[in-house]
Amino acid sequence: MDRRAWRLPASVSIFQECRRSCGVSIAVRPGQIIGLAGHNGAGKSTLLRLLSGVYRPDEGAMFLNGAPIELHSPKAALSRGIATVHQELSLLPNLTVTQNVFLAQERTRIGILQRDSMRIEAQEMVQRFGLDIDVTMPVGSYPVATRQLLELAIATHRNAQFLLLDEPTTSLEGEQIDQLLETVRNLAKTHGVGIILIDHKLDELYAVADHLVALVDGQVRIDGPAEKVSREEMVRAIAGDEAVLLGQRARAARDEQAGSQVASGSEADVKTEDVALVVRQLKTKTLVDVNLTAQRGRILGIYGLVGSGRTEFLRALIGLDSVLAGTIELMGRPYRPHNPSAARKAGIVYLTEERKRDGIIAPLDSITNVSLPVLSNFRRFGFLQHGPMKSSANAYLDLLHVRGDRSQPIIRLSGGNQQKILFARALAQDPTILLLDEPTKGVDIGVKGDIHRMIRELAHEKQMTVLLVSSEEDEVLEVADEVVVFVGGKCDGKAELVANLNAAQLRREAWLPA
Amino acid sequence: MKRWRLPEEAGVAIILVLVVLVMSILSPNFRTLSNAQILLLNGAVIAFLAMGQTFVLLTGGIDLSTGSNVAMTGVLAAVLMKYGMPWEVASLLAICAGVSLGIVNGFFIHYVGLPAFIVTFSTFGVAASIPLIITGANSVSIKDYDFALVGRGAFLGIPMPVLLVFVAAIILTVILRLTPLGVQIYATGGNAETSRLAGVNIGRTIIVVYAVSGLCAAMGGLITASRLMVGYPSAGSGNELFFSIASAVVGGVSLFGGIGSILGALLGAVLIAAVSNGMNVVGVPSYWQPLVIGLIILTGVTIDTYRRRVSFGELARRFGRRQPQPAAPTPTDTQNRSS
Repeated sequence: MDRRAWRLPASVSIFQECRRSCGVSIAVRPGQIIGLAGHNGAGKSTLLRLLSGVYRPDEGAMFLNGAPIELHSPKAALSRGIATVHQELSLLPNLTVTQNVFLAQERTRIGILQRDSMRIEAQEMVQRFGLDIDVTMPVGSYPVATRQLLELAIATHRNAQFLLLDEPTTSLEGEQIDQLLETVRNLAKTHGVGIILIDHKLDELYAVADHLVALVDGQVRIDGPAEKVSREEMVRAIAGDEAVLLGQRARAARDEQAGSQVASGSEADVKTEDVALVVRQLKTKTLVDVNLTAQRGRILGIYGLVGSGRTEFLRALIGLDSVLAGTIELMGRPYRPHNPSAARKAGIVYLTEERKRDGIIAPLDSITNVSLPVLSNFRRFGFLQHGPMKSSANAYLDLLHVRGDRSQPIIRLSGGNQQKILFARALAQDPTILLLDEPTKGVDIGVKGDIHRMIRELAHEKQMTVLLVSSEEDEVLEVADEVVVFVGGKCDGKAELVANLNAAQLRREAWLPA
Repeated sequence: MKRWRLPEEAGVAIILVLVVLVMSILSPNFRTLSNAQILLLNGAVIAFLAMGQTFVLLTGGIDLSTGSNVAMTGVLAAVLMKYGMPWEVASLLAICAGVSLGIVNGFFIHYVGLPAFIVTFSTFGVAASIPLIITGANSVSIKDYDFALVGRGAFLGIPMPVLLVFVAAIILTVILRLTPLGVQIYATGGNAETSRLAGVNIGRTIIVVYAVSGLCAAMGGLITASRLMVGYPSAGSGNELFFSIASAVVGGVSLFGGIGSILGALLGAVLIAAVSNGMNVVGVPSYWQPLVIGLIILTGVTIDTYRRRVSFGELARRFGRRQPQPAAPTPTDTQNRSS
């Protein structure tokens, strides 16, 4: 047994939702990268908070370098060399880079900050990590990707022997992800840092992890070297066997359908009555020239890098960004959105990418969160009919298999459940056109499967028109019928059937426009 | 590598200069040395309250109890002197009382977890009542004439209260800029949860800022009592609180936390004092003052809110560091950026 290893047999009190004490034992050695995966509510965040000293274990003990340790606070964890990079960026935008580097560990002489020495050291540190930034500028003046790398740099600078990374690539893409993973690998291999990497993307885990752990319902289901654990095993453990089977079945069904579409699609142009939405030369403050056609009962995937105008396009469709030029036709009639409620009346409903910012209303319960846009449907003589409203909302929530207490503030539920509730809200508005912006962001594989299945059902059975924006090539390819690619605020509207595409092609188109 | 930037306080400084210029042109009485002394003397209490308020605002809180803390500490000092206590001891005890009120505020806000607005709103009432109760709503005159030094004394022609403000401003600036506590105050206001995860002792930070606010209010109370040589139980119930928040806000201290400085708040206080004094000298009835100051607060908060909507980087580039007003980048702005 390596003496410097860090073991954590700890009893974990898991979320409200399953209220159970579960035991977890994990060991990390210096220079090792542990890839940790598990569905939402499996206890990843709880485990992370235990390790970073935010929560305390009910039972069990943690060992560092062979000696038992107790972490009373985040500061205690830091002082023992255990640093955490949280899912949400944890640098303070209003402080300078230097101030962030030394936050709560300021260097002083007789109580006075040693500002010059701190600045010089911070500058050396960022240069060592290959970051071209001025450490006297506020962190908020740098883009998210830079801040993420900065955060890793800062954690290491704080002499972290062990680093906990909670989905560090969520807000990154393409090269940025590669750069981050490269940095992670480098930290482990050359600096000897022991790393626990929590990630939903198996590709990334397999790319860097030496050792894989699958956490299920607060317990370790799989714990083995990366080369000995297959993807199938991981997915089966995380999602449960049934989900894998269902996923395969759904994929098979989709393939079949795609096949028939290829046959019919090649015949001739689509019949005009099937066209739900036509956009021509759309221009807004950020969009340059967007053209596309969406058909009823079909899922149009919209792929592109962050900042390519995908989200802005959806915003324009619901009247959040004003249209400067171009035409939009909805069901054959001209459509010019002015605000979201007008868009909703026209049958267009948008599901936000930023769940916490403009999605959920944190202190309200699930029922109210679902019913909010359709409150007027349950009004009688000016009073709200709670009974019908509740049963209607419950019907949608049941349909989406939302677990957890629905009378609780939504914020207490897991991210996956929150996302399903937002989905229910969208469905409750009975849309003809559904705009989905990263509908599976930050949800686990199981919920992801549920949502994908739901999207396909809505389009193919309920004849809804779905526009699906996603950064994940796999998601676009698995769910959508056709795909258009946005590049720098432009879209040529040439939809490609997914059967003719692969992830590499999509990436190439997004990075290197023809 | 380290670029020169126009200080954040430049904006309020420019406005202050403009106000002083306009008032001087409008009234010959405004531009006399004695009026300048009166202006600064009247501004001293507000300046103290504004500096304390700045500490609190930087952490994202607010302290509504400072005004009544002025009355409480002033009366307390007067009463203690009336019972024969030397003025130094009485003053010290009054300061302790002011700080204690701040600590109580901080305790309820951090450890009980109540909103700052509610806690300080409540203690505003409590602190307003205490002097009325102990004096039976009568004013208490002070017979110890040495105490007059605090409010009426002068050093090299500079009134003592102004000197005290000056010393306090230097100490508080040093704390904010040169000590870990200072950074941690800004950090707490930027994002308390994040700071906590980084290892900042939030509880201590919150308690300290409210204690500093209490200390500053007590200084205000002592100055008020000493200038009048009377402990008025209703002192500080007027515009003091209002003016102090106004000073901080027009001085660039963000009501949302994390941004601002003592210098800014000080300039803000002088600006508010100049506006109020100028209106007196020009002959505008005094009941117009809150209206004008109210509009000044609205303007300040509008600018503050606008700069928050723009990203922090934009903000830093656009006016936080270089330009006081939310204006489009000017030629100097672009020059600065390219240099």
